[in-house]
Amino acid sequence: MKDTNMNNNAEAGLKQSFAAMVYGEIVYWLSIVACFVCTIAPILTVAFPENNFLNPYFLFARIWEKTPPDKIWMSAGESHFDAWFWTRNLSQGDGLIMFGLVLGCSCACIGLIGASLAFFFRKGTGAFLGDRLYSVGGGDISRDVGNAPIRESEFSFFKEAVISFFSEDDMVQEPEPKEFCRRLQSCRNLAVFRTRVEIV
Amino acid sequence: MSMENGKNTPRFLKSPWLELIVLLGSVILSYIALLIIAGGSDTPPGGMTLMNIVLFLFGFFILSFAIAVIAVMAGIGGGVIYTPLMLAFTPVNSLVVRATGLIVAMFSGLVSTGPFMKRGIGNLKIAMLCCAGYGLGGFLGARGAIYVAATMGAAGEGWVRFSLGCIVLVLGAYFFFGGVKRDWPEIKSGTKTYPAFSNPYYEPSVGKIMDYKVVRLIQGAAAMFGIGLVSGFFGMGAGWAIVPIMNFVMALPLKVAASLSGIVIGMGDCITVWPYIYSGAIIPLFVAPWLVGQVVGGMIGAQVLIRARSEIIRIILIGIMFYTSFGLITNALQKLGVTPALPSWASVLVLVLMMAWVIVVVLRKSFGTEAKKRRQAA
Repeated sequence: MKDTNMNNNAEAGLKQSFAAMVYGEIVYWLSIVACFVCTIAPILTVAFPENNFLNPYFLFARIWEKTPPDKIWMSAGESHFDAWFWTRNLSQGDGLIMFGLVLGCSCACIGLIGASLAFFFRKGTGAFLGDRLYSVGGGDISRDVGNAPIRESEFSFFKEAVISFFSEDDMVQEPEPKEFCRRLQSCRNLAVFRTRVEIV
Repeated sequence: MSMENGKNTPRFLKSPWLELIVLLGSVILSYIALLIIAGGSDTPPGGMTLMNIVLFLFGFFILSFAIAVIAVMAGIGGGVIYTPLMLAFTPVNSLVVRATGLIVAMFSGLVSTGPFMKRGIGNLKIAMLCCAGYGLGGFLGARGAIYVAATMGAAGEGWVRFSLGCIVLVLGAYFFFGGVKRDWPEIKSGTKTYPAFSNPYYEPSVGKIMDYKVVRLIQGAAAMFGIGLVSGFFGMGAGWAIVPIMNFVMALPLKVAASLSGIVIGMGDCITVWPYIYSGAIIPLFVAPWLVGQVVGGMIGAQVLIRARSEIIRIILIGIMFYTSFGLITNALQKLGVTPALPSWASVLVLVLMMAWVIVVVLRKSFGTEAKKRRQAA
């Protein structure tokens, strides 16, 4: 029978790819942030017209006169266009807009890095590598960190954090305590390894 | 506790409504602020007044918003409408238009990625594979566009407009006649499938979990290279080509193909747009209102107006595409020195003829639907 209350995979009891969800969330929120930056930054351009990389008084006239882009940028007094001009001009209106655009144009790359990290830790490869690297540094993970069970308070804290973060859309179901502890342990192993490297 | 709180929270305080309201509020407030600031300012000699600049920004935003909303309702990508319209009817440099067109197409795809992934209909593995071909093609296409603009000058501009006019004409005909699409393509026995790439999803309209198989992955990725080349060169979305390729070549269900096309365009255009950024074709103040209009309009269209999807709006858009292709081809022929500038009465005549055609088609469709309903009632 058709169940109209279910809307997505999680509600239907299907296991959703965690890496895909991480990618989707990162891309969605970064594009929203980029859009927000591009909404408010033109206020800076108009409020302080002299404080812009491209003078707004003459910009639209040049665009409407079929001026090629390189000539538009040269009107700013630069000998050649530098795509990273905004890093030095973040307090200017067009510098801030360009930051928003670059953020939006990079969000798929950032999302894929997030998705690969999610995949890495989800599959336990992170835990395995963390252990191996730690032993290369002369340590013994089971001796130094131990396979001590995660404390009840620690588990409850992380569980609560994850559930409250995802509860809005029931994207993930409540994790199994055993699986959750395993993931937490792998993260902890990697953190200890990182600390050890820093000390060395 | 938090779960219970989540269920009791009003709908408008939840995603995506919350961010939509925040974005819409910030857009309204920012344009009010812009109008107030521009009101009492001095203009240097020969410069444009700040009020005119604000009106330009507002006009671009409204146009972009309208394109996004209509595109969602008609099921046609925003980039396919924006780039030809701007190239046909404005004197803006084609490289600037194409770079902005890519941003328009890209952000339409990016904002739809999150919801598709949440619902489980988005398939990251296939998207990444297709993006490898699409991104590479798009990158080379963008480099080609910059090369043509740098070396061929006015003739290059003419050829770009002419070929785009032909593409838009064919696309308009393709959208009008519908093309053959299969909701659930059949896979012949013996065809090699890739189980690792399938991703079952829950389909609320039938209340079932749907599973599908993927075939001809390599051929699909290779076709994506060609699509990316066209998309990157002309700076427009490519959903019109990605969906049929995924549906016919890779045997993906229509709904999965349609959602994946947005994800692939969002991901692939993040690669394609960088040659344009490095060439300076992205003019920040010009692009910003187009970007914001696409995101806000696309979200409103997807949340509010998706049920109002209308065949009539689709036909009007197809009429616009035909008229745009006429504008592009005549503009190109004039730039190439083949024909003199078209007299304005000829443009108006073609516009009137196109409007008459749209009205006739809409009336025929409406009467056809009425007659069908009457027959069913009888």
